[in-house]
Amino acid sequence: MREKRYLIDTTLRDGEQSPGFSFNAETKAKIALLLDRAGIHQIEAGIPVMGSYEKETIIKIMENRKRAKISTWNRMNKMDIQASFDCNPDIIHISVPVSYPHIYSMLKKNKAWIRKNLQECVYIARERSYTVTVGFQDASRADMTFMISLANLLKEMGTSCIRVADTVGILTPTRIQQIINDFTMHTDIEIGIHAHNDLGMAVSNSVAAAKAGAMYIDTTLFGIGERAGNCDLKKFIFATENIFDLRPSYKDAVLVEDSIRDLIFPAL
Amino acid sequence: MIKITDTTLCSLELGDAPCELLLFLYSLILRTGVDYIEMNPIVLEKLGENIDKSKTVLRLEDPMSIKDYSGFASYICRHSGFEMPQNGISEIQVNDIRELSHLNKCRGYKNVRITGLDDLILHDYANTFKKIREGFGGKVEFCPQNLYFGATALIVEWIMSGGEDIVVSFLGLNSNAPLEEVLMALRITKRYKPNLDLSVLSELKRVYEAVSGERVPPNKPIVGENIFHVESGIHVDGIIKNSTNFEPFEPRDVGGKRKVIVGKHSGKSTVVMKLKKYNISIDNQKISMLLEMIKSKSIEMGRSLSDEEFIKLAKEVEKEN
Repeated sequence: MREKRYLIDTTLRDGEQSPGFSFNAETKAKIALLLDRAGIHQIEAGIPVMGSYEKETIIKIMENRKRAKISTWNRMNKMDIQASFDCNPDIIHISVPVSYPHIYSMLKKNKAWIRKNLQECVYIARERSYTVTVGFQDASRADMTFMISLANLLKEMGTSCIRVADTVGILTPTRIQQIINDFTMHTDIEIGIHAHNDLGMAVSNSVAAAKAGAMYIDTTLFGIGERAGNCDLKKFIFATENIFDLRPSYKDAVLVEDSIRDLIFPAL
Repeated sequence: MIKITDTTLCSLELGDAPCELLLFLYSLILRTGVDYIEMNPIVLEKLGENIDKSKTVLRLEDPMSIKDYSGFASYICRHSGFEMPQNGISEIQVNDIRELSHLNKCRGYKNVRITGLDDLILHDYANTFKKIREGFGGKVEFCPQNLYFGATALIVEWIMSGGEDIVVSFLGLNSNAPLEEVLMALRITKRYKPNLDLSVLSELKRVYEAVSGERVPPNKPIVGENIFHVESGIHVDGIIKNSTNFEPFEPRDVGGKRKVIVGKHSGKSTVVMKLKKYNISIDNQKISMLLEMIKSKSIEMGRSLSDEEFIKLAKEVEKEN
């Protein structure tokens, strides 16, 4: 029997975030509707803190969905999370920088600051009974011990899942397997994978993560995303349909892409 | 020692491409740092005497015809059971892991190229690599194919597990592992740098487009035109501080250029940077207003703004100062 894996489509967040793409509310609603009807597990619908237009779009997506969980993406700050409350999503996803380059060089903060702020952000979302997932931004360059410590803290706080993000797309299949194995061995929290295609390995790395036990796989339609893109939904399903129990089916993923190709690519 | 054979010239529809252009393409592929270029007699005839035979692998249909072509680094023929000379390579097609047992018939061969194994990325590649290397006495070239989008990953894993000889093609032509992805992946993961200057890749792309008449997709890893475009506020901000925050390598490493785009996902720092670039002066409190105008316009148009469109909006706001 094939093991179950769950697809999280982030076309409407990380996909749209890539330069050149800009979806209006109708386009986002249509993409979400098609993904929902095709049976996707979760749709990362957008970033509420971007403003009222984005919030209204996410609310519309929430109204139209039948089965898919709808999540919003948030930086690790209270303003973002409060903006998400206005959309009342199923899941609040918080992205936390975990690598030294991102913590010390980019944010000019330290690990204690990260831990404290993350706790506060998760707390305010959990206090309102939201399901919270946390993305480990730039996990591929992060200290494993620090990530395990954060993961255990998050589990205690009721976080449902952590997402290992290969933010700059430099992982290899064996390396991602090691990372997932380390999490599995030292934590008791579900893991997801968010892969980028900078070295042409987003699908392979996602496959490796899923094989190692990652339950959630982030994808985008046509593989659109920052730089060389994200793990391509259709390609991932094509590669793994015979080893994992997945939804949508490959046939349905093709139908979704065919239906929205013209909506997405005039933007280029 | 890692040895890379590139098969781009065997994988291209050459059509009426002039000899000079093909020679230029040949020289650019060599400049990427590959060790050998594979060609067939048709390509050989087009390029004439201008090639370096010591860096050329000649693909022939019939091992018996090897004697007609002397002086090449090596010769490759599909495995046929005929005995190959010392510098001959037998190519064995193994379409998927179910066919791995075919390799048993070829044990003892000195030089082989294993082509295919598209689905190996879905299975236990580490043990399979070990068994393959144990099964052959001499050189084993690995040429994974890409039906399951795993060719680059398989090549990287082959090298990381001790393999040395690999076969690629530019952009992954003919379903091989893409040369440019493999070079950059080995550079990042293994510090393998056969050529310090990979800026040749952007020129290689231009010449490939001229020869083939095909456009390289804008988001193609390593050589896509748009891969160094950046729009979202968080990414622009991070890249301004240090490009390694959100880029695995510098655009100039591969002959590319970074471009900051304004659109729906732009942040204030992008607007400030663009205003400075175009010498437009706007009060700090009105920058947020301009940002909202940019976002609305981008949503309305369904795309990002061109620099000209940005300047027009910014000048409207500047006038109101």
